[in-house]
Amino acid sequence: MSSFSEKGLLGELELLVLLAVVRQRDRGYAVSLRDEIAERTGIELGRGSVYVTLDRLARKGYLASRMGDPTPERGGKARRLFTITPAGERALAAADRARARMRPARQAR
Amino acid sequence: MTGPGRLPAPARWALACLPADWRESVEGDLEEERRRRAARGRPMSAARLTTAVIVVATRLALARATTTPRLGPRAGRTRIMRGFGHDLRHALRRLRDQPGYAVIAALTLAIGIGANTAVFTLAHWLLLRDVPGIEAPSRLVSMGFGGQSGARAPVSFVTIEALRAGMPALDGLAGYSSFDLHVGTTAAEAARVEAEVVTGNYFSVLGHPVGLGRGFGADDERAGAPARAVVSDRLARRLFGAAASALDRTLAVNGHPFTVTGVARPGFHGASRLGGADLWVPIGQHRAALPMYRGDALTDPGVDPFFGMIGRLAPGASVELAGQQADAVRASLAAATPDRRPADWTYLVRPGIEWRPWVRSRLSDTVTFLTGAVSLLLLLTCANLATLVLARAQGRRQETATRLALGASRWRVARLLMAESLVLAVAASAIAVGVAAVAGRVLEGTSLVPGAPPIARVPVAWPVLGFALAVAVVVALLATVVPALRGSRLDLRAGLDQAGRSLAAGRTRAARLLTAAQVAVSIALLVGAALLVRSMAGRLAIPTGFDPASVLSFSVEPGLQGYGPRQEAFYRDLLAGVRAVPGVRAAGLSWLGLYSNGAADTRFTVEGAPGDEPISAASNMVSPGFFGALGLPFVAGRDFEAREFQRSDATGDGVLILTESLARRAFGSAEAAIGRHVVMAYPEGRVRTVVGVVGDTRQRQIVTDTGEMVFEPFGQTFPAGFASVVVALAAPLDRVLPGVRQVVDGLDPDLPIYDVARLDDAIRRRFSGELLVMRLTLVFAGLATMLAAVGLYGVLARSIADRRREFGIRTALGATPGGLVSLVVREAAGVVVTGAVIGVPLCWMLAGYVRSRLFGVTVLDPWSAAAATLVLVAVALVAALPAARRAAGLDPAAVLR
Repeated sequence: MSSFSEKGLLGELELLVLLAVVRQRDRGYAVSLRDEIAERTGIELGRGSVYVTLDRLARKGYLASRMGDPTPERGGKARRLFTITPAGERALAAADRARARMRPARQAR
Repeated sequence: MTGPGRLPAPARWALACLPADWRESVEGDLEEERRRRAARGRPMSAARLTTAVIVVATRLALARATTTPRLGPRAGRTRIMRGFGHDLRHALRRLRDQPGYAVIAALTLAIGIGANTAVFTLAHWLLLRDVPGIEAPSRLVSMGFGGQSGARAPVSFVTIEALRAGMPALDGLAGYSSFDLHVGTTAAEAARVEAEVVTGNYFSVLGHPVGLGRGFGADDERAGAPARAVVSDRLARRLFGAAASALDRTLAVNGHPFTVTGVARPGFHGASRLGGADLWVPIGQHRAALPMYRGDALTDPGVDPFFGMIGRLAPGASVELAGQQADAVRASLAAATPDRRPADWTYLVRPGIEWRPWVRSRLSDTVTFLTGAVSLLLLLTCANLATLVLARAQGRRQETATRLALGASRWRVARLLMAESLVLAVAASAIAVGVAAVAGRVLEGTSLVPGAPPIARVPVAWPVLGFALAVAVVVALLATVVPALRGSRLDLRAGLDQAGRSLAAGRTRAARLLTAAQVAVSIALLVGAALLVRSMAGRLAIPTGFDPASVLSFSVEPGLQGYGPRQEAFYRDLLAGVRAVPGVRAAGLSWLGLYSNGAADTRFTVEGAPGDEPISAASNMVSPGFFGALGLPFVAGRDFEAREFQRSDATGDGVLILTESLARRAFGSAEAAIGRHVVMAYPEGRVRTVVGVVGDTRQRQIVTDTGEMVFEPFGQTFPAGFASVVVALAAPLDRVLPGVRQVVDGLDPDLPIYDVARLDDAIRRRFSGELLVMRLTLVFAGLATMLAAVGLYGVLARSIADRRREFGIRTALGATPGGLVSLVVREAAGVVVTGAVIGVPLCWMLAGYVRSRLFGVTVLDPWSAAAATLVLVAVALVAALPAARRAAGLDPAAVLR
């Protein structure tokens, strides 16, 4: 796993979460990202998986986060909002490239 | 239930387990989700919410613990060495890179911890383990009749009944006492076993030590009750093959039929620790069990067979209250029937189960010795590990300096070394438990205390594992913290300098001193071991007056089977039968077994010299042929004659045989003694004639024997209920023994023979305690020497590594390899000599402890000191040579570049 990650490659879960963050610009947080993925792909991620993946991507430096404003529907608690970093964008691009190169010729772009 | 903005309480508590950077947002997320679901009519239960928090917390914690911080591109900047977990991983990597250091350090630790674990295992088994079947031992009290001086006397059943009546603080008081009794079955050979004669409530006071069938009750304290017995699990298996098949079988106890109604739980062998009882007989059966007491044990206060009493405290009662009540009983008994006991004697009440006194004193001796020895070994281990860590800290100067230069704290740097030692400690404690298990196998079957039953297989218990680990960790930290902190105190500039040469000297000196201290302790232990070996050799070289290796001895006790006057014919038939066995050259009878615990002394005055001080000497009663069987030569006069065998000298025509030195002391010479009369002090005033003088002989305790003895004919003073047969072997023991057994079996199948041994083995058994101490000291000295050798090797290897440039220059300037080797060897010799200079006087300082165990040598024995030093010099050479050869093999060009 380490050599896989050290090359900057992404797991499928990481890819999904990272793409969801990109989609929601800098407004994404755990609940909304999970909803986004479920709506678009039909994949219902476990609550824990979402947090673990976000946490890992943040520690890898692919995601940055900040605390939003507290809202009443959240019992006065703030959201942790995520944005993609340049490193995250590079990782996304590298993942795309790697896929493209691995694909058999007739499907290549 | 949960108000707006409030997760259920358990869920909120669980939030505390989340990483701080997630806590608030996760709480908000869940609250949001909870409201959404509630709005859709699918509310989330409190349990589900709590579970959700726990799942998230666990998964985050796991994910963070299992990913290394090197992962991403920015990780290196954010998490340099945080947490001890990282230290441990780092330590593992470093140790993997240098397996030599890891192995040596772990083995060093394992030796010290293993020895300690082995002793702890033993102590745990002896002192701390629960005795099977004994319930709530903290509520048990031991009682004994005695005074403050420590003297004890047995008590009668009548006294126990009085104590029961007068001590409401006790929920039951039982009496017990151990005796060797005879057990015969139709299936197996008759045996002599340790038995306890007990009151009817013995088992119920202890709890439930009887696992199968039942114990005794109140009716077993009556005369005429059915004869019932309880056997140990071990004896049941031996006699009947299985515990369950012993029930309702008939045993011959001392020749009387008993029914087995109970089998004790495996491991239960009596109410005392280290007990060895295999049979329990109720006091109601005293006529069969205890024929040596003539009166009625149930009603006669003069019959006092109970050496031990054990009671159970009533709910709410204290030991003090029981003591006061016991004192009151004592006062009223003494008022009713005054006795000769001192005024301070009373019925002492002590909490817990007691050791048997003779076991206790000797056991505490042995345990003290063992504990002292292993503690010393542990100190050595600490010193050794400290040396190794010191060397390692030094070898890492550059790395350490780099870390310090980059801003790491000294504590931070020391922690890395400590993490390594902790990893080693855990590995070492695993090895140590293995060592302890092996040591347990080695000790199995040896008797830690002469006379006590041998140690069973001692299992390695859970507390032992904890102990080993705890000791390992403490040792690792102790041995590491000082050198690690020292190692982290560096002059940065010098440390970063590639060669780092100027620093070596100081730290090598510290390591060298530590090693010299180890050598000193090793030498002290080696000197001690050498002294003990020489003492043992000295003891075994004491002349016995005959060749013990060619004499078999065994004992019989027809008195226990109630033979009465029949025993005279039995002894005659026994001697005749044994003499006819093929391979038997000669045989004789002795009242007291040779090298057994029995002892008798006598006093007499020479007739016609009434004013003289009485002469006292060891005595024994023997049959005609006894001296011939031993091969003890007659210096003058004759052996006893057949007509003197088993004849009372009440008529006044008794005879005696003296040993040569006693004859000389009393009469001037052996010849002068023959035909002379002596007046005995016991039986008082009886006159006996000296008919023979034999060579001096030591046949009781050897070391304390003087060689002077008085022999009288077997049965002359009183008929003896037991006897030993000494047999001169003309064939190997195992060819003769079956024939001998057959003779006894033919005379009485229920009569066992016991203490069967060749006399040289019997002598060695007498010294088993001393032998054990000697062997253990040898083992400890060997281990200490190994540790010292490892330490010495470490110091030399490090010193050579530090002085590579120096050696290179020396070689470049023309030093020969031989010269370099001798340089290193001289350094090793310096350490050993320093150690010897400290170590030999150290041993003399410990002399007080050693002296009592020595025989025939003094603590200042120069041979022992020389031998110990020589051993260490040899070991030091072995440790120095590989290092020296490495020094000689250095390539000057490579080193100096």
